[in-house]
Amino acid sequence: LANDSVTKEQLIDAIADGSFVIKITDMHFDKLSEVGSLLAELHNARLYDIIEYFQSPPWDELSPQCQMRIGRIIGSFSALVRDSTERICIFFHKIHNRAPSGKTYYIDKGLEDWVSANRPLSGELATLIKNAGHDSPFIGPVLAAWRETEPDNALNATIAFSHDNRTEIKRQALFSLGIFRYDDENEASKAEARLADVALSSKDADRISALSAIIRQLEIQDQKSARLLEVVEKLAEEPDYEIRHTLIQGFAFHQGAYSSTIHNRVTSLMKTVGLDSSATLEFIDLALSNMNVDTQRDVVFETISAILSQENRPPGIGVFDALTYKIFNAPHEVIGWYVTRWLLDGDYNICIQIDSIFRSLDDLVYDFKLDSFALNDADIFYLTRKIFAYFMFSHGPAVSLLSACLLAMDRSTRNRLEDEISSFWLRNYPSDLDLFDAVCSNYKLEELKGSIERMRQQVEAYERPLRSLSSNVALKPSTMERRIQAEIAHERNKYIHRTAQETSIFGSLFHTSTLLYGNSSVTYIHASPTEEPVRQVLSLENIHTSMMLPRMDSLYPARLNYLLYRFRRESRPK
Amino acid sequence: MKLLLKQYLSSLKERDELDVVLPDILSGNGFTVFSRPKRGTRQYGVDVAAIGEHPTTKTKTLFLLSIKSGDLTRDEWDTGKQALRPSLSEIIDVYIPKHVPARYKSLPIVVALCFGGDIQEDVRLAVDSFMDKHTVAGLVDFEEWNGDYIANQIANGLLRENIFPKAMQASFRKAVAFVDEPSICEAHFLELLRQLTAVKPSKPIKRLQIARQIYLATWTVFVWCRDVENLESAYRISTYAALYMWDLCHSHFGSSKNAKATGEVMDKALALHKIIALDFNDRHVAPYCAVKDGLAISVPSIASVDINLKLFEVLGRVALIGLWLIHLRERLQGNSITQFDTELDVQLQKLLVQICDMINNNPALYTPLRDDHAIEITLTSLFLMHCGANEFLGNWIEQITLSSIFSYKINGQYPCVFREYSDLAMHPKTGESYKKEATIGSILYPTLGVWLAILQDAEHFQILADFHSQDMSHSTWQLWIPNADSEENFYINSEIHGSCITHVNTKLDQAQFLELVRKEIIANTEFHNLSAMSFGQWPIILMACQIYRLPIPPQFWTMQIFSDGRGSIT
Repeated sequence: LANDSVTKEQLIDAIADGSFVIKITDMHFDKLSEVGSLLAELHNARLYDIIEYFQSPPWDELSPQCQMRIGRIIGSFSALVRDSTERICIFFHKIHNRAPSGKTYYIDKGLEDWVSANRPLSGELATLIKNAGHDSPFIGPVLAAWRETEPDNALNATIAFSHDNRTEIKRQALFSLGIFRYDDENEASKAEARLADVALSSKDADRISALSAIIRQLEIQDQKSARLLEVVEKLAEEPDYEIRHTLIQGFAFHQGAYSSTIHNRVTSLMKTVGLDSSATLEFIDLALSNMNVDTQRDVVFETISAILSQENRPPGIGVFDALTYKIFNAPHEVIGWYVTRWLLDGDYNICIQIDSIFRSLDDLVYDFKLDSFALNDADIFYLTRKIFAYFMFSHGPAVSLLSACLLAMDRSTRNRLEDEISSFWLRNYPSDLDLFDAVCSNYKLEELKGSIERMRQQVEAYERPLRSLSSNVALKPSTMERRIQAEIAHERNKYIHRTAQETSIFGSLFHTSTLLYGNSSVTYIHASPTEEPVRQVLSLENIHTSMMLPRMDSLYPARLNYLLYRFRRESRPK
Repeated sequence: MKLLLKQYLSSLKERDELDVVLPDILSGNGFTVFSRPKRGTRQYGVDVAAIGEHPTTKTKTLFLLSIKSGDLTRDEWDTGKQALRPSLSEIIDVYIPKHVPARYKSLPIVVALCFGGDIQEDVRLAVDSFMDKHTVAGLVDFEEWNGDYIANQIANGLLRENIFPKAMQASFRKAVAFVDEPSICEAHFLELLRQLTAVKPSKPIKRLQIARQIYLATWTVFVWCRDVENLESAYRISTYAALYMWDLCHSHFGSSKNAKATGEVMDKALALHKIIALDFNDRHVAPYCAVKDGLAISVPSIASVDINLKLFEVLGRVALIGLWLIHLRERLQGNSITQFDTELDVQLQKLLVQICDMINNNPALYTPLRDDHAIEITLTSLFLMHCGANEFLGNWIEQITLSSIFSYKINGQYPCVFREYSDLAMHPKTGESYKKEATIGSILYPTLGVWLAILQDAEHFQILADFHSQDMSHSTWQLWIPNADSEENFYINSEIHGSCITHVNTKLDQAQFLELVRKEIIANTEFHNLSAMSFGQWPIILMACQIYRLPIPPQFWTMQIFSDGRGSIT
């Protein structure tokens, strides 16, 4: 089959000689829908019984790529095929049931398209499904199409289906009740009554389906149903894991569905979610990241803080990657607000993770402000020590926040804070004076200049005598000791490299090649089987990261540990 | 070998070095030295006087040596008070006519111009002319003993092959070649010492000869270390040299001629160690102590383990220097050398300030990594206590106690029993079993307990006792005392010796705890039988403890040793 022009004759020949599957493998993906349309034309013109042909494709023998291509063709074919409703019904159920799990998207879409194109037949199709002796994944779209042509019959049928014993049919029927729009009060009442009944009285999956439907219904209602709101409020009182999950999911995807009471209640529920409910945590992440991290900062902060500081095995901040990404990309004032609040609260479990909001080993400076906190001197000193304790590897944010601390101090007492910063932070990282300079010049903080100069003098007063000392060869470790240290460093680097590879997103997505020599790689790109491969030379870039170790860690690690321990344990002054 | 010796000679300073070594070289070559350099007395140009064989007539001859260091330049020949020509003129004009002992007056005289290097060309004519002018045939001859000549004397005398065989020469050469790699130098020097002392000759004269060889070899290494400006090897080998020499000689000290000479060599070996230790301190420690973090940053490594180990090591050495000075002061007690006493006090005060600076400016010294850093802590504490710095000492011991307990509790770099560098570099690992293994026994905590008890710090003694009962029940806290085997093995660390006191019970109150230690001290009679103690040379025990990593015997805590007045070998 040529890519440019596919003819019905070619298709018939390919089907006849058994080469159809092979030939579509080489086709351009966009052409597949055209093939589906041509097959429908062949079937509708009774030139070839394509339904018969497609009812039993040898799925197991096909490659995943080919399975997807067949699915795509069936999808295009389904929307246009004309045949008896009964045959259509059987066809879709058969191919759906036989298709490998996860490959039914185009088939299900094909049914939806067929129903959309043949709405008047949806009632008949619903009846066929009702009378079939098996469950069906298609009742939802069928009822939706039917509701457009015969609303009353469709609603009654939907309510009837919601009593069905077949799981999927019942689930889709309940869900349909939630997405139907009701212009008539009586209709709405019937649907709501059924949903409320299932949500409050039944168990397990039906209850969840009903609650999901209610949430959807509330979202589309201009005037929210008191009955439905009451049901949700009742369920939110003491929910089990599934109900809590569904309520939080509703919060994440259908925020408009909830009244403020339910909103607050669900927010409270979020605070109780632990590591054992990882899927729920993902919805919380989505829910919070959908909120405005600036104007709704208090709710976001309190919710996430409560989760991160749970007593037993609290989740890590890494779970909330969408939220932390959003905070990181918010204006600097907002990032600074979150970080400062966490530091002021001083919860160890949270503070130890704060720097993961920033880029790894972040050395960019930020325009942080402490104006909104109205801190006194004792608070600022406390905050400074918390920065020391928790920002050892994020120097940019640390220095930005320390600068904000300096500016928040009264001029007359600022020198005490300068001493504190010089004697700990700059003693460990003297080159961070450059970051202070960057904060000062980037954000035009002229008032900071004096402090930086005084701190520079203090650093210099410490460094100058050290520079004047000659090298002390007598204290040099022996060759054997130096070799052991080199081996330790080598092993550590190997471990870091291996861990970086294992945790790399790219590493897990692509096949990797390791070049032992050279700084570029020659590869051939195959555009298509018929074309000559294109030679490409890829230059390699050098990527490296480095981390400044605190000087005290070499000189007196035990003392540094003690200082950090003290800084971390310190409570906020009353 | 000769080149190596010549280099060594040319590096020696005139005062206290070349003039100290030369008499030994002469003795090693059969000369009888009857006059050595002395301070404060006029010697009329003669630094050393000896009786020996005339180089040409082979008759008994009086040798008068005038010594200058390095090369002989025009300035050193003719200019200033210390020039050679005025010294020679004094010998001819004053010493020979007036000061030759009556019993040697009949002997022919050889005036030897000694210098470690060579005569420079521009002064050659003047020297030859002087010698020609003053030579009296058959009565007064002149000899030029330059670096080459003296090196020959050493090689043919002290180090000649039948006494200093080829295998030993190899060890010696390697030790010298690796002076800037202290661990290698130390290994070869120790090998040399083992070879030299493998068989202890029964004749005192032979032992004396070996002692002189050890002394000379130590000097040579020291001078080479000085050349490369790294005295680490010199410090280590001079400690071993003193200890091996003590082991070889202590049973031969006495009043006979050879016994006396042996004692003198031992005294000189100890003096040499002290010179090296002081020089080590002056070059490698003292200049860094007054600067905040100065000493720690001067360690050429970023590994905290290196910094911790080096700092404790040098702290122990400096404290030991202080203890040697205290020992010297004790020996001089009763003598009325007031000026020297005052000088010693000044030196002690200087060391006290230095040690306090060292600890204050280098917080690593509050956090011992090795359990046997108890040795350095004890050395330093003894010194501080003797200097009356009890408040400083109390604060230091308290901080060590708290930081060690804290580090243990947070799995930081807590004190461990490991000695291998690779274990220390990887310390601490995780896991309870590792933690127990790393602290399976301890001399550090009982040592801290004793000091806390001595300093009457009940609060921190109780904290230590609680730590013992709550976290350290798996650990055998112990003290160490010498036993009957110790005398034989202490100085050369040949076999395991001594006894452990394992019933260190911190549940007792401080007074009871000290009483327990006191009882052990009384019961341990072997300590006072150690030869170093018998001769009043107690710092030798401390030297051995530090270099062989043996706990300091608790007898030192009683401080009685400082007041017994003994201390002279000769």
